[in-house]
Amino acid sequence: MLLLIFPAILTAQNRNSAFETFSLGVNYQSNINRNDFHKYWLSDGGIEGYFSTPFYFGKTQFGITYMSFSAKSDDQPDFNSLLLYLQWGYKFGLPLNSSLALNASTGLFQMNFDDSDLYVDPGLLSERELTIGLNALLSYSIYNDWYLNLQLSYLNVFTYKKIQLINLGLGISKTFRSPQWLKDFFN
Amino acid sequence: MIRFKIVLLLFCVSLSGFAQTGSSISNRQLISSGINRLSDVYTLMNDWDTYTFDGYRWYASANGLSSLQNQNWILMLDGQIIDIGFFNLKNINVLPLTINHVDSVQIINHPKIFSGKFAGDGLINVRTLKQKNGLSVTGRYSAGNETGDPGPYFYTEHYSSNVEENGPNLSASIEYGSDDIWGRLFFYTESFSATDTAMRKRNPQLSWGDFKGRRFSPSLQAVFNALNGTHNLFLGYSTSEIQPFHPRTYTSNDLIFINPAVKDYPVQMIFKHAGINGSFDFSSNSCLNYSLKASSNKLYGTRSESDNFAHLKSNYYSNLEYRNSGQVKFFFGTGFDYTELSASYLSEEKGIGFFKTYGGIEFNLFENVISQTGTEILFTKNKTAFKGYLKSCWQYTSKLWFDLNLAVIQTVPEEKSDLWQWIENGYDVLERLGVDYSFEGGRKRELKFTADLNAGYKLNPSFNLNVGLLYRNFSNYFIEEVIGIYNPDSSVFNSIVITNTNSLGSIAGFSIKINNKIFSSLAQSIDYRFLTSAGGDSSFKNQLETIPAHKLSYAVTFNPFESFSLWANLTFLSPVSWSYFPELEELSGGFYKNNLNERFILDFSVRKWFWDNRLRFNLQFKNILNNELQYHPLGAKFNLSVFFSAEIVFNSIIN
Repeated sequence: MLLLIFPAILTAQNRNSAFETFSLGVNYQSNINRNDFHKYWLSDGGIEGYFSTPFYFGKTQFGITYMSFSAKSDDQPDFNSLLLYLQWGYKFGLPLNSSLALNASTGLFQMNFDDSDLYVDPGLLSERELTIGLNALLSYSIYNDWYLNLQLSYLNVFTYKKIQLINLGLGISKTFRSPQWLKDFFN
Repeated sequence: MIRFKIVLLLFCVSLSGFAQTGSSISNRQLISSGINRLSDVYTLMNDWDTYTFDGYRWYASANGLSSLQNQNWILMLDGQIIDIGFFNLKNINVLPLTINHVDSVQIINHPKIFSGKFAGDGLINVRTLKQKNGLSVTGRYSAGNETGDPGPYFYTEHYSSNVEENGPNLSASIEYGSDDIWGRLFFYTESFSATDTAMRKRNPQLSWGDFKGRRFSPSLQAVFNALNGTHNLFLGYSTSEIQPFHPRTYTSNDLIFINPAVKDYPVQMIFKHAGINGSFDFSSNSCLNYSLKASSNKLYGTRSESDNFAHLKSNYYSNLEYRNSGQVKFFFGTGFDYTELSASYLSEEKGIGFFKTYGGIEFNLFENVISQTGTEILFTKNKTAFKGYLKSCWQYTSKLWFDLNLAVIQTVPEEKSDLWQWIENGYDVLERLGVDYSFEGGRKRELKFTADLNAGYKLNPSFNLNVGLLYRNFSNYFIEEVIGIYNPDSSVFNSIVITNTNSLGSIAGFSIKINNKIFSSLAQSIDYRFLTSAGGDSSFKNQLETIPAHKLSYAVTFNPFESFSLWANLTFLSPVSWSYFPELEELSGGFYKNNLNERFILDFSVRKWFWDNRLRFNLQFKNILNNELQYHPLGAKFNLSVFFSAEIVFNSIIN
């Protein structure tokens, strides 16, 4: 599979256009699915901030998502999560000043448990676990380099029993032209 | 014809280089693969077989040259011998250096004399990077995380145990480089854990903290040109006793698996090394090489039941070699090696000394055949051991060549630096640990014959094919047979130890390697190896069954820019059987199994460097297929893991 992908990358890669621009964005995230995890916890929603830039091929993004989870019972602690992720994807242009991006991501999902109501093992007050994610991002240019973004994302947290979250996000982003020093830094 | 002779000349030059260097893992391969610890280099060495209980301490066997039980392979740093082993553990991570300071890793897979040592069981020579001119500083952070933690489910009926974490590991160096002197002052502090359920279940006597290890490893290296030669001074220290700068406050220790006890013991291990090696050049084709070193390894128990369990091994090594690379290429040398053993429970100190003399010559019997032969005679007390090898390379056409390696090796017990060396010298280590065993008559002089025939075909500059056959024959081979019987009530193993001092057996094998550069930035390699028993007694065959018969590795490297690369490696290991634990599956309720099924291991690494390569990030995923990966039936089961490293490099800040 890699052998099939690499020639495409080779033909598409363009070192000059990489890091030409960068975008800063913010999203509100709402968890919309229900599975075993949701028998114990419900999400209170979350906020995501990110930095993205064109890569040698496609687009890359680094971001942080904060989300809190409330326990349904006193037998489990509340916890909040901080997801640090790295994402790569490809954007397709659509009519009406809009675009669709398909992205894959990996990150670390840090869980900080609330020990105020329940005895929590001190060694487990904070845990980190690997995540793999997929998302589709629909962007609409509302004014010059300002965009309105609608995102549907799937996140798999590799705990022993997996945590699977499907989130709907809504937010805005702004794209800037990269100063030379930033391009030099990235290259 | 002239063209052919030029090719032959170039080939002979490269062969001459090969005689010196053997195969090697390049800096680019090390960087692209994103390996995190020195022990991860084994994943790039398809000719070597390895296993681990905990992912940190590995046991290795080179190209069928020894069993996995025998850890007599040699470790060197820039040609300087490093004695990091204790009992049967040779943990390469004890070497006080991190992978970002390694230029390349030379691997000796066929018996030969290398830097004054006869490498009969294989050799790894870690070559360090030469410092840039002026003053430079580097810093590195790395950490890893194995998936499968309980997360919030810890507080539900879906409870599970916590699994391994790796790191944080922090290192820093201050370096200086110039034309005539260069060096590095290096500090490394690392942490590791062996908290997998498979480890803890069979060691109920240990607490959680006993499975957490820390190590602090500083070193100083200085290389200088003087007296018509280059000299390499290396001072190294590594201890599990302390770990400065670490954010957590666990007690610090190391862990050692004592096979005859089928048990892990928390211990402190302290390694010290001071050595210098180099050469004095008499002319452009002749030089005198030398090597001197003193080192000590200390191991002591940290728990009350292993009280009065301190061992100290000191080694003094010297070697002198004359080498001529003129029209007649030859070398000869002599060396002395002295090891002193002492333990807290025996007042007497014991010394083991060897004297050796060796030599070798390169010759051309036929126009397009270049050969090298070498012999070593080792003397100790009333024993001698002879070692000899012949390496011949025949360039059949400009594209096709054949390479034959033959060796006959005698090994006296005194050369084996392992647990039984202590016992043979009157230190009853196993009695201290309450292990019953029989060891009558002592070990004999082992005899090994090895033969390797390789054929290489270079279709074009970007496609190489190498096919090989190997044969090994062992006699008077020492094998410890430890039968471990699992006690379901206590969760510990009771052991029966039988020592076989005259085991015999043969191994035959086949290998095929393909290296192909598809584009300038895209390369792939396929490496297949088959090993099988070609006769022998049951002790020998049981040992061989612990090594996968089939091993296949497929690697792809995509390196479009200096600052960015992708790497993927798929390894297949065929099933292995450890027949030393009767009724293990039944007694442990299916938790432990004698046989490990076939394993598919997919690793992936992405590297991006920033800021003119000053800031370097690497992300490596291990076992992406997320199979429960095991290397030993009693060892940890590894899930998908991720490793991250960040490095900052300021080169030549002051010139």
